Amino acid sequence: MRQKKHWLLTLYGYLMLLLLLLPLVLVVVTSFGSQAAITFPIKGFTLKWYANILSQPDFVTGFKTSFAVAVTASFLAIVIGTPAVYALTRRGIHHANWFQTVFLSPTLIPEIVIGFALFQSLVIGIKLPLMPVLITGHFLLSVPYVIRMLTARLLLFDQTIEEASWLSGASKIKTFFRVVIPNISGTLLAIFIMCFINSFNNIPITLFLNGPSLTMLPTAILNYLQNNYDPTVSAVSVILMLLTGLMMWLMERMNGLTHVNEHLNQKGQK
Amino acid sequence: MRDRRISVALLLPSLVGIILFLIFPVVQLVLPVIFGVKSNETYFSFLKATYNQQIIFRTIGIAFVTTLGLLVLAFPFAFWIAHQRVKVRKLLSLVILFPMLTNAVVRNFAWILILGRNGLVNTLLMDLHIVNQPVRILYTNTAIVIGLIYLFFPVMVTMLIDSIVSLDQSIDEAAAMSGAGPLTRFFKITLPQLTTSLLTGSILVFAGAMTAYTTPQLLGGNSSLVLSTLLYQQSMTLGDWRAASIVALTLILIALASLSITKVITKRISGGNEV
Amino acid sequence: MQAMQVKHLSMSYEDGKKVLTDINFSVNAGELVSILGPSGCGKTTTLRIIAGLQRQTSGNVAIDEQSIDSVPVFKRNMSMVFQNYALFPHLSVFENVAFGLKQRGIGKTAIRKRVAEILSLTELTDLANHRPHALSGGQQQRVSLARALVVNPTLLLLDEPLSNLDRALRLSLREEIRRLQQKLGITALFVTHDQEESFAISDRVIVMNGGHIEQIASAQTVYAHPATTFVAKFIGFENFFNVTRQVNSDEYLSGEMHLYMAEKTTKPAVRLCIRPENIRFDTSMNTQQNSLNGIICDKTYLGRAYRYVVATDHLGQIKVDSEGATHQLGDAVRLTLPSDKLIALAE
Repeated sequence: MRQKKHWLLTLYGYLMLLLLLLPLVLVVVTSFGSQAAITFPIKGFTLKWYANILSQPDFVTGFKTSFAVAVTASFLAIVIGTPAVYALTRRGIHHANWFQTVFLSPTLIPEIVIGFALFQSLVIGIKLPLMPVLITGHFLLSVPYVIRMLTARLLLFDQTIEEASWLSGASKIKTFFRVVIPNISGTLLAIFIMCFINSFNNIPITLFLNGPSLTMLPTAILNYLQNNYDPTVSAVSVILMLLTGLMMWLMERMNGLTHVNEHLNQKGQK
Repeated sequence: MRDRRISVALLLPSLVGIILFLIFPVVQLVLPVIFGVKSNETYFSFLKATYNQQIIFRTIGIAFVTTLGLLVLAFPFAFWIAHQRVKVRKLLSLVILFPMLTNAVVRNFAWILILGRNGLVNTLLMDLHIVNQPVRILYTNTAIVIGLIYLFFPVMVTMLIDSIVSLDQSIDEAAAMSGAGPLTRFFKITLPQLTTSLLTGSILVFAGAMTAYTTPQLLGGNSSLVLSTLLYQQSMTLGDWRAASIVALTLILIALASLSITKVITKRISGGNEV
Repeated sequence: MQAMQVKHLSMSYEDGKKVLTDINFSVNAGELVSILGPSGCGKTTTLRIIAGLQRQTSGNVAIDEQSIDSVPVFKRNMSMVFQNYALFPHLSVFENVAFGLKQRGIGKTAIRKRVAEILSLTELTDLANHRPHALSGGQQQRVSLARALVVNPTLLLLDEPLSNLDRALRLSLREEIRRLQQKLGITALFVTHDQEESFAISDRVIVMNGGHIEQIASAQTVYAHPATTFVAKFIGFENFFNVTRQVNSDEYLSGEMHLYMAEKTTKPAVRLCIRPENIRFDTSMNTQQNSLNGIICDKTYLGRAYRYVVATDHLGQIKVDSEGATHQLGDAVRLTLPSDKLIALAE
């Protein structure tokens, strides 16, 4: 009885694993097909679609801008969020829960609404240029990652180590930079990567805040898909998957993926 | 006193950033809908329009079916992974994480390849002579549901794995010693301990499915609008800010309601653990 | 000379819960004083206030008669050895020990020389390049001790430094701490919940309970003459007899029983007490001072002795430790409470 159940479950497990990965494999396969329209099975083998990416200015500039925005927003979120997390975990703040809720509020409001709200009040309302608003939007996306992942790390970091440093004669600021930061640098890098991925991939907020003069990669692909159905999108997708793989490899080296899992558990990805 | 000033200085930048750039814009967006001229009238006339009603019901329906489908599909899979050796489990977690971190456009594009008019499914169906004409799957509610299940499957699975792994094995052993068979143990011992995670996971996924944008946009298009795609259409294509704001408020209410329900559930069952 | 004084120290939380009430004591230069008490008695809080890690509600801490309440923790020139070692995980043993010297702006060569000295004193020279996680608990605590000593602190604070180690290691490290403290002439305050540890290591013992001090005295005095019922219970007295009336300066009445003390005392007593191992079984049934009859109602083997519980006719149940296994349950016995072993307690 037990044996049979186990056997069925194993079969199911492999089936789901296959279903999970098959769509992505399909994307990879179609990126090499030589026909302009994607059909099954693919015919021929070519790399021309990868070359075609470079002839799409939207993809090239989109990649650059998305990259720059993601780096800036992630960096900002870490620089601004880290002091807040430190205060919340170390300084016995009153109503810490309340602050925590405010800092996590970007996950409570649907991203599409955040995009619309930012567009309406900052771009239309007070006529801010798109770029700073876009970075603001992505900063908001990143803050919760900093708050959650860093809170988890600092709660694990023994506070008496800091006390030992103070007693050794290092001021609180010096202790923060010489003792705390060196010990949480792996987590900070993992957080940076998570923020980067999330910002780089974001669509709902980006959608409202890009424009003819400001092209972002995910929305550029989205636009391209409205008008074309050729393997160029497959090729871009493969590039994006390679990027994801690279980021995951980096994080695994930082041993930070456990934190990532914890965080994603608490937040549905959109 | 000095201590307090330092704390404030550390917290202030994040606090100001979020209040100024998130809470303020959102409040500015929804206030006119709630308190504006004839606000009730507009809101209810929006709700009364058959077209809008259709979209609301479609959104709820899609999210509901998605959640149900995920519960059925993800639970056994999570159970399978949770019972692997630690090394295998870690590897599988990475495999699951990969699609989770891959751009949503890519993930949905994959399903366009599968469900499209000349896609994998139609090609197979025609090659096997089951149908003569390509079947329309893309740009239907079904396509959105499939896409959303694919989108949230890894999220649901990781959540469940963690709670299954953290189950106390000795409880199950104690039940076995008292003479309970495998099936009894599963339904009377294991499942009840997992109710909280199943419930909170479902609510999380439900809220996510209600508010997701990319999937319904790519797999549903304009022929199968949901609230989030309606919001974008009303604001950016049609320029009807009022209607867009109403949709935005509705989406916020959905998100906050699911959050409160989740909080109540976790508080009641696990004694106040934050979610 | 008093190196450090604590005057009228009180501390309460914002919800009004009192942690410390009017703590007064001093530590002389070169002296090792330990604070002994159960968990939650306020001993660690006292230590942390002295270190500057926590703030008192009132009272003050002075070094060489100078109040240091406004001096921040990193300028107090004190050192602390923590229960969980608290080594810097990202630094090697050498760098851990050198950390405090670096903060004091000491030159590289001087640092190297001083660290090498301390490492050899603590027998850590071979481990200088190891990271803390590669060391055993005992080694880590020795590094922590070296780090604390290297800066030549005005006051060395030790917060239960041996509680995380196993017994054999505890004993040897305890001796090492005492040896180094005396060799370097360092003033130290040692917090522990273990009375044996406290007695073995310190010049004087402060016994704390419920946020106040019960007794300050040498280990010998605390052991032989506990000042209060709490101290007596904490250090192993198990038989307590309430005093009904004081008949003479050396004679008390507990119920029907007259109890005589070897020493005369003028201070009023509420209770007399005696350790189980100090009570004798009498073979002769002759009437004697402080003797009474009873029946053995329980017998447990403790290893070093048998623990008998004797139901007596005048003083209720009395616990007696005796090496002999001769008595059996139900036996009628006669006990003597030696008058020189009875202690009178004022509270």
